[in-house]
Amino acid sequence: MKYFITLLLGVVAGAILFGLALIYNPLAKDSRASPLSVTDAEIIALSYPVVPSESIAYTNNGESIHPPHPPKIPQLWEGPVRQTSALVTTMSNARGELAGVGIKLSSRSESSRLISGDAIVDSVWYIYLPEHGGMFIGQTENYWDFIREVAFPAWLSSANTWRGTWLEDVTSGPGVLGTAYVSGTSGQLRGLDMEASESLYLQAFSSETGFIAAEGRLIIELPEVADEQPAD
Amino acid sequence: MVKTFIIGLVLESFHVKIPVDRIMTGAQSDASPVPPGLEWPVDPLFSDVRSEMFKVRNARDLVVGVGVRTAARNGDENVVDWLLHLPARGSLFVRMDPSPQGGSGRIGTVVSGTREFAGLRGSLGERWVANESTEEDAPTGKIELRARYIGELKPLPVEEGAE
Repeated sequence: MKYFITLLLGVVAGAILFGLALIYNPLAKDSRASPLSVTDAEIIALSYPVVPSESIAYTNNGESIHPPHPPKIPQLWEGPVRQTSALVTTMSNARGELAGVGIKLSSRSESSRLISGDAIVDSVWYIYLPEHGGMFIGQTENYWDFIREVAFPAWLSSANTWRGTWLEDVTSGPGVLGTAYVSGTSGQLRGLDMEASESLYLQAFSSETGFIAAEGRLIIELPEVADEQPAD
Repeated sequence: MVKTFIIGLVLESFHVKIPVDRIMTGAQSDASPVPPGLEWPVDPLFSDVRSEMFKVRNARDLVVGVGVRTAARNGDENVVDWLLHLPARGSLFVRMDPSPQGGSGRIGTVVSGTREFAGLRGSLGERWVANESTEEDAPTGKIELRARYIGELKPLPVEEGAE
């Protein structure tokens, strides 16, 4: 009997140590500030509500902590799309004014490796801004820091809630500098290849109901226009 | 020396059954939005923007992804864009020629893509095919999407000594 209890305690202690090693993993990559946050180039700065009930529409497989919105929207229950969520939202400009509409499709990636601090999501945006035109954005996002610094503390909390201020870039690629790529399709953006970076600004999160107070932000860097050299 | 290139032309067919695969339709002109309860912004900025989201099926009629079609008019410019997101493979971004081809469909250009579709160039055709079945619960029709894409030209490695 004592051997069984010893074994059980060993397994429990091992599981706790493994969990702590994952959360405080020294091998995990450090998150970096996006190079676009300090760019001198002209940018388009957009923000959008992350809380599903504040969006135009949101759907997933119906089993996530974030319920679909509006409630009668069809759910993505079929096998190939079960790990996918879709968000339709208004986009605001840097002055907080309505700027357009954005649709984001996100899917959990098989390339996630928690042991190295990679909680990867493959996501794409289609954004239409009547003032600028339409654009596609393709990116990989890493939510490991969010899990470690927000979701896990919320789960540990007796109220299952995290409150504070958390602002971090979630875009991790595919650009070599950890940026997303952007293709303009219409208006002033037509034919332009650009870079972008997405960040999350959180103030409250519940491990039971998801985002409570949160905003997503996108910075799209426009290509530099070559200055005309004055003739001598 | 003769350079040999790998050329891969891919033809693929997808479709969307209407109305069963429709997830959302957002437009100010819709009196009965899909899904019920959807509140599309009433701002004048959105007056000429219509976005639709569908489940996308492959040729074997299996749901394999999600598609977004946005149509808009901005001044003299008409815009029709498709985003196809196939989680197991990647995403395809397509800019359609807004002018219908032959009255029943449109042809678009692949602008870019992610993962499996990164670096591909090609076209996507969309066409409405009405359902002629008289069965009860039969869909009213389907949007047929035919993709043709070609990979980047890549030179084959030249073996040492080859001339």
